[in-house]
Amino acid sequence: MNGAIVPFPLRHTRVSREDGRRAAQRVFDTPITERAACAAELHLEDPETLLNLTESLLSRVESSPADARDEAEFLFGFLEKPNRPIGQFDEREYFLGELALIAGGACRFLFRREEARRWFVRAETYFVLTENASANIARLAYQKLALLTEERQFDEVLESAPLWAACFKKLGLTDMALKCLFLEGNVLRETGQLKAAIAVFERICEEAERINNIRLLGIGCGTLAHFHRFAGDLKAALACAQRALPLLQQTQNRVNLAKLRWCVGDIFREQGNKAEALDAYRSALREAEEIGIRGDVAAIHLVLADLLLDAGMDRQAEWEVRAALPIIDEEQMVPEGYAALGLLRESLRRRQIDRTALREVHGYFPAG
Amino acid sequence: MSTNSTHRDEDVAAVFGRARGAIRSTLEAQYFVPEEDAQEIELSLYEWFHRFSRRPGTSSPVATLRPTLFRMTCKAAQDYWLWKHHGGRITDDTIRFALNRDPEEIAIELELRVSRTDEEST
Repeated sequence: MNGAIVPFPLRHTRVSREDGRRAAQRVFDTPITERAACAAELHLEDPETLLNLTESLLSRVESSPADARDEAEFLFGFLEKPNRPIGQFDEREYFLGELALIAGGACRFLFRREEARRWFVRAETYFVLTENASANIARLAYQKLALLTEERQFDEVLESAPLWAACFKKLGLTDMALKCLFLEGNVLRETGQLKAAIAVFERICEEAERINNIRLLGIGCGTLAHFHRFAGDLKAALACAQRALPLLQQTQNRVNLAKLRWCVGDIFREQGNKAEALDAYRSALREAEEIGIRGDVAAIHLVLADLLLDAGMDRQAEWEVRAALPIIDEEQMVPEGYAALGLLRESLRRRQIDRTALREVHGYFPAG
Repeated sequence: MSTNSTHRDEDVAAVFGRARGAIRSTLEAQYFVPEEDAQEIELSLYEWFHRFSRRPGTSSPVATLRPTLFRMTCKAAQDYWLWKHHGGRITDDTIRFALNRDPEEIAIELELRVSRTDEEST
């Protein structure tokens, strides 16, 4: 072993916690392309700055995943090559693991599953070298489990989610344990056990309220709104949506806000209120486009097309399908729905949308 | 700075303050790190522990993170000697003996010792 790679003499922090927060803001204010050149000025190698950056990026994963991914990707690249000595002891490995976890989590929201998987592998290789590795790897396991849910590997999720929940409780991470319950509830709904799913989410909301976790309470209420709608209880669905809206706005959870607006559109549509439904879908679409969740953008275009066909606005419906198809192609979505997608494309060519194919293609997307 | 983070900072300072004696004696008496260098390592451990306690996944009470602090103390001492000897063979038997011990094992002993002192003082 060569002494040159052992991190002594020690590097003491030059930046205070408050300065670190300001330094992180300066980093965000500097365009990514200009950062490496003024790294010293931005204190980009300082662990206090990096800690503030990762804290802020973690909260952005759900509010603007595309930004979070780009920022995390830049910082990861900056720290990884060349092999910069960062902070003290395990801090370099920790920051690299955390940034990879953030990038992977953001990719998951962006429907970039392969990329998410690659980031998760990177995160694991660094997290194993950190102190408190068990908690870091457990947090990573949650992300992988969420990815499995999105890939509809339900048996695996139902088996593993309670085990991880127990593990998080032992590690003192109650909010992560609650998040495992979210996955369980979602799988129950996907496998047609709606009543059980609603019961799980009611438990989640009670627990989130008890531990005063507004973020999880907002997501829990939003999900309950979806589930009550599926169960046909539009009154309860609307009540939950109304409860969720300010909580999601307060926590700037734009991913779930887009999904909630989509759900409200569905509720109005089922109540026969096409105009209100159209408005809600359009605002969901705007939100989803702004934050770059392309899977949802494509799905909402298809829902809008269906509604416009109902309203006899065939040409506008055609435009919505035309807007969705390139995204579906680029992101290689719905590989299982290849046949339906072909029928839809063909019907579009004949300028007579095949309603069955449209609904079938939409059925391959995760519900809003 | 929010009240929560101020409280957390105070807890970190208190936990570190109570562990300080054990850290110094481990560095100097068990690992034979010279006083001046031990002081430097101690300062680094404080800065590290401060940031470590703010990582996601360490939301539990700061006192429960103390074993990790002790483990890091031992690892820091090991790294110190590796650096001092440029990664080469360490010939001093007393140092070699200390370095051969599992940091985990020493950390458990330290934790037991400090928690016993804590109990006696309350």
